[in-house]
Amino acid sequence: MDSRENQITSSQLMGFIVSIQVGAGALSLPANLARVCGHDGWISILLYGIMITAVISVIIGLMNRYNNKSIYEINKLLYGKYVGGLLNLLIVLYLWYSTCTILRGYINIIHVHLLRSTPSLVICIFTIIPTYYLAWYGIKYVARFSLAIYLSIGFCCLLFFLIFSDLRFNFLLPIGQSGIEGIKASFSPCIFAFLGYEVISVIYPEITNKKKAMKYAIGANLINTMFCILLLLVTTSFFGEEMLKKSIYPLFTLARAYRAPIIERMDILFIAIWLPVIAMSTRGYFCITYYSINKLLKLKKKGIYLLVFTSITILLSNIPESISQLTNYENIMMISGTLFSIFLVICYLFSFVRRKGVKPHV
Amino acid sequence: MYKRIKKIFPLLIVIPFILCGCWDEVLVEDTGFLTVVGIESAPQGNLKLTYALPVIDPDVTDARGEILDTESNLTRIARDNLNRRSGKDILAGKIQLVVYSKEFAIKGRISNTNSIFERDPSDAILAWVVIVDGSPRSLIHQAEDNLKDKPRPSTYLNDLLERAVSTANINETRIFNYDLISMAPGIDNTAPLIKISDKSIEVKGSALFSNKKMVGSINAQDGGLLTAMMKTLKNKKYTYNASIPFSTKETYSEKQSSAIQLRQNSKKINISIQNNKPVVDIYLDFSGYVDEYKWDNLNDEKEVKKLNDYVQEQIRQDCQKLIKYMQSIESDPIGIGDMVRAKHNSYFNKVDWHTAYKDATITAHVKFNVVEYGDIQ
Repeated sequence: MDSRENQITSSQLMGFIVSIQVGAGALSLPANLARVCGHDGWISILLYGIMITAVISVIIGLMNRYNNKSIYEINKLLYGKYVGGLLNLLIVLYLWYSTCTILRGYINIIHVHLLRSTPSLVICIFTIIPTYYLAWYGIKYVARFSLAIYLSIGFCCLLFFLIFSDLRFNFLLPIGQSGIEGIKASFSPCIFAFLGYEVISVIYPEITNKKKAMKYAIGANLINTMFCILLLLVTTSFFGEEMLKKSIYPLFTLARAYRAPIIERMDILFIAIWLPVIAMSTRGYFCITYYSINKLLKLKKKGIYLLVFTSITILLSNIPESISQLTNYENIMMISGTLFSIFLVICYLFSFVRRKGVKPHV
Repeated sequence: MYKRIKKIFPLLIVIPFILCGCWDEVLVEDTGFLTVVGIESAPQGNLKLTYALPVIDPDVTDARGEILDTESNLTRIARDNLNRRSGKDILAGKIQLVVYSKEFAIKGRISNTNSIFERDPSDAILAWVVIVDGSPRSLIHQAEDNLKDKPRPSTYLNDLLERAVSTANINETRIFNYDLISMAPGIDNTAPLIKISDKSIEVKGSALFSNKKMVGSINAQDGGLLTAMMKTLKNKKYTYNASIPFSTKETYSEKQSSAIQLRQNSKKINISIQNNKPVVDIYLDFSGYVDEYKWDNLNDEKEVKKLNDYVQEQIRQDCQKLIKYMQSIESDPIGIGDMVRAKHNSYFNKVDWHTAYKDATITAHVKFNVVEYGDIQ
């Protein structure tokens, strides 16, 4: 990848972040939240959404303190060559792990809903081909394609509108029943739904109009928060918390439950529209990981290394054998993502102590 | 930029429709699409299953449908058994009706049997949940063998049920909403209740449930009043069979009754807890369109007022009777418990709702006004 192939605008950054966030967590979010905080999931999302916005502000704040540097260069400035290098390795491993986990989740959905008898490995190879193709050309093209997320979100909102008359708003009452305990317990599913914002720290140097980066990054989080709140309000008032607790992908069940004229099975169309969304999430992490490896190891033979990277990713993504194992892997991803976010906040604070490389007058 | 977006968006809209075709090949001629499933109890806790599937084969001209009977412990295993007997590959994605026997519903076995439809995404969760007064197997066989002048059983039943929903005689109960209501606390299910006679199938009314078990039933006329209390009669064509004021000389039924189409203007339910008991007031406001009425002066305000008061009291009494019946069988399809849970949560958590519901004071307040009476006075 040459440097221009990775350059993106702030608005593309927004679409890129939204596509990673929505694709990864939205499908199972209502069910996961219902299990821990009943019908009050939307309150948790609102609170954690505000919290994540603050974290994004800190991340952009950290990036602004350094001149055109990503977290990899900042780490070396803050912690030295060896500790910084080790931290960079951990970040790349986290991103790679996230790629594999989300890819496995994506394959699982195709397996359950579409191609039951096709081996996971075969699905995996075929689903990663477009990602491989886009990654070859660079982040710019992935970010451009990720703008299609707005179309999928729009379609999803149309579905919400169509089933509006079947909603029972009593299912949302009494508000705040789960209390503080519920909000605390909803930490994992909420953070998992928001993961994706942390990639800003990696691709920040590639943003062309950095002055608008803060506005658009927060905008991305705002879109995701609003979409998740709407999703939770609709699914909870449609299914009720007891039924939600038993679901895995309530969004698909919602599409199955709508009787569409002529096409009848709305779920088939919905899956066809939603699959690119999940693919975008995988693609986002995939490209960022490959970009990071490329940047740290300064690879030159792009074709060979991308092929090797893709092959290892396919193999690793096939490690989880069942959906329950996948949940455990997702929990690890959530914990790692949270630690990464905390680490970025620490970096920001530490940059005031160790000012090496910090832009003057910042 | 705008022009590019204009070009790209139609493409993105078209793509999912094209991609929908990327699936395993399913040849209609080689597939047996299940449309009706009948489920009833068999000995040793097993299931007696009857499947109806239309014959889609140009070589077969003398049969409209094929019926397959089987007995198994699970519906999925039964389908596998059928696959070994049927000449075609059996698919369940087009099931339109799941017909349960009354005794099966009374045992509370529907909810668990439905799980396959929820679990397997290829199964339709939009199929009707129907209760038959009698045996589903006999209903499906009779419908196929005796009702030759009617459309295929699945189409015929489906049309009947949809018409009954449009006239508010029953509530629409599909697998997904049956399941979610059976899990929701403080609300009970209803399901269409049907019966077969020599010449036709009749939608008798609704089966009422309590704690996932069928506990009673109401007729189609009461079904409309229940719909008015549960949801609304807006956009429904519910005809109320009303008694009207008559003199002692008027002994024939056409002089004593009137068919009035009810339109619901509003519904309001007030709930309070008094002396540790729920006190519920249901306010219903109807407008009436008189479809059938004796030759009389309905343009006379006094006459109309008399009719309004008479019918209003009658609807109120019918609603009250219906509520009392539902309380006696501990069935709460209106969802009063759900409203209590939402507004008086601590009380709801403290009591066993079905017992508290039985003792609740529920009062119906009805307002009725004739607004139209057709082309004659």
